Amino acid sequence: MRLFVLSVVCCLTVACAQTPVNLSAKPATQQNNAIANLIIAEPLVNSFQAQRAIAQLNQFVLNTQLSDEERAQMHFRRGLLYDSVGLDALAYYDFTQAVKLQPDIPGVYNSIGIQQTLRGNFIEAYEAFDSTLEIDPDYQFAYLNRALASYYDKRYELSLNDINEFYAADKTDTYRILWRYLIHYQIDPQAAHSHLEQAKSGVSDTAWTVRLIDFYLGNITQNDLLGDLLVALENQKQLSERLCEVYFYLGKYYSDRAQPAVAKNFFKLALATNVFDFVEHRYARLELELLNQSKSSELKPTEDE
Amino acid sequence: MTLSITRLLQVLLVLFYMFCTVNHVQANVMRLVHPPFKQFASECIATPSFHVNSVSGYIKALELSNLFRSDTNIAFLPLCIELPTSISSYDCPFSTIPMIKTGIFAQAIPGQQLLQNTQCYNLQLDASSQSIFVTEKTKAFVIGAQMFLSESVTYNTFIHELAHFAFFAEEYTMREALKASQCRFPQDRWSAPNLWAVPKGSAFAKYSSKHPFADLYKASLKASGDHTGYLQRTCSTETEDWYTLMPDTFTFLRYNDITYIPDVYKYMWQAQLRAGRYATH
Repeated sequence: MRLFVLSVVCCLTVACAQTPVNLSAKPATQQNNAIANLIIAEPLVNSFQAQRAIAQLNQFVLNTQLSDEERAQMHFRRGLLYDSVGLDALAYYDFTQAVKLQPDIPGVYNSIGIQQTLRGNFIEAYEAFDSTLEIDPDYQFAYLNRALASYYDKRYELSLNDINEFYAADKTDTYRILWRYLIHYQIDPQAAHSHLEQAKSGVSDTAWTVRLIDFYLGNITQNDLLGDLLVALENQKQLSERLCEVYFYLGKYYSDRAQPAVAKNFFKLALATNVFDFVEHRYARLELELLNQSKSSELKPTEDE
Repeated sequence: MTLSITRLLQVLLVLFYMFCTVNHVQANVMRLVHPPFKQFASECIATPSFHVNSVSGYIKALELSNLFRSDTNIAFLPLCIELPTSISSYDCPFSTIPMIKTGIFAQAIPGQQLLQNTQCYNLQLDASSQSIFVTEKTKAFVIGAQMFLSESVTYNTFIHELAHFAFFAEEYTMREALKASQCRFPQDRWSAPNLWAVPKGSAFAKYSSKHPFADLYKASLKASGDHTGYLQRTCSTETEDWYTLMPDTFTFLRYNDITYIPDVYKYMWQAQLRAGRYATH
């Protein structure tokens, strides 16, 4: 009997110990769950049509007798298709084959330059973008891409020159304005802020992207920005694309303000959208790598230690 | 009680109009009521196939199909563009200018006459699909389920021509040759969804058309009050009045270089394809 009473007391004690201390706490399902309020993109499914186009292009190349110039064009076009579905290595291989067969296609050098920037091979990237502009001085995107190469190479003055050239070609484009701000911020944050404010007047108020500028200017909060990107949405693809951009620029915001942990999460979210052909998606990977490198160099003991 | 129910119905009707409307900056354009439609279509109801007779033609086809795939403005279309897997040996010398430029439907011109007009040789046609031929010498036009595009054609023109595969008619002032095919009366399920005809003297509301979008037109035109502004004068004759839906708005069907596709047109285009109302050989 004494043993029974003892065991009942023990059971009750254990049961009480397992009961939550705060009896008034709501069940987990009713709690204000942060993840429920987070807008996460549904990762885009890799385009069935793009994959089919690659297969058809391969078949066309096999079935057709091509001159070197034509074969170079086919390698270039297939490289762009591979790039659009995130197959970087295959794309790079095709670009290098194209340049061997016909060394005067400006777009090929531009694509090689982007790939070299993403690999951190900045000298090769500069050479490629210089070749693009030498062949075709009006190839606007080479200025953007060379600006980004210099930016990630921390040669901010050079980068600013190129992004100014790119910005001058279309002063209504939010993304040109934002990159110009991000580059300028590394040289003079205050001047960058006032230039951003001036540049905003060139953008249409109806464009949703103007909210990104508003966020950087401090006119709206992060929650406002994330709420506004749902306005006038037409489909899921558009949401993924917008989120890719917003996450990336939020990542840049926190990265530049010494909050690497927050920045890394935003870059990961940008990558999770699978919008492979967006500049923001490409550079989110590089940003993450750079943040990881700086983290590991902080942890690494110095020689003096 | 009856009054309050009527008032409630009026409020609901106003709310419905507000929900399904397209607002335009231009004056005199009425609100258009249309049922909801899928903004992003992932299926391939029709698969127009490119045909090329040169590598430069192939590169053009590839460019157009890449732009089509990434164009979110056209994501509502359940269409998949097929690329060629080899070079064809067709030849379209076009020594004489084709009699018609665009929008001639398969039913309007018999096959024999069709080939005669386009003056193409060795065309390999797939009976189950629509064909897009890239050629060196032509501009851009559609005959039945065949589209002919020059290598210098723009993407916007390609989209404009693609709409003709779903029987959409031109909205600019048409020449006589085009009128003959696009202003056919009585209308049937193969007629243009963006044109609607009423026999002269018929009561507007009473006239029953076989056209699947007649009700949509009637609702929209009736809402405008005065229909005269919507008269399509090119097609109108002594016996029929023809109407277009958006006379004051420059749409992609009015000019090739305009990208604006009104939502009501998106709805109609998708509905045409889903109902199988598109050109085939």
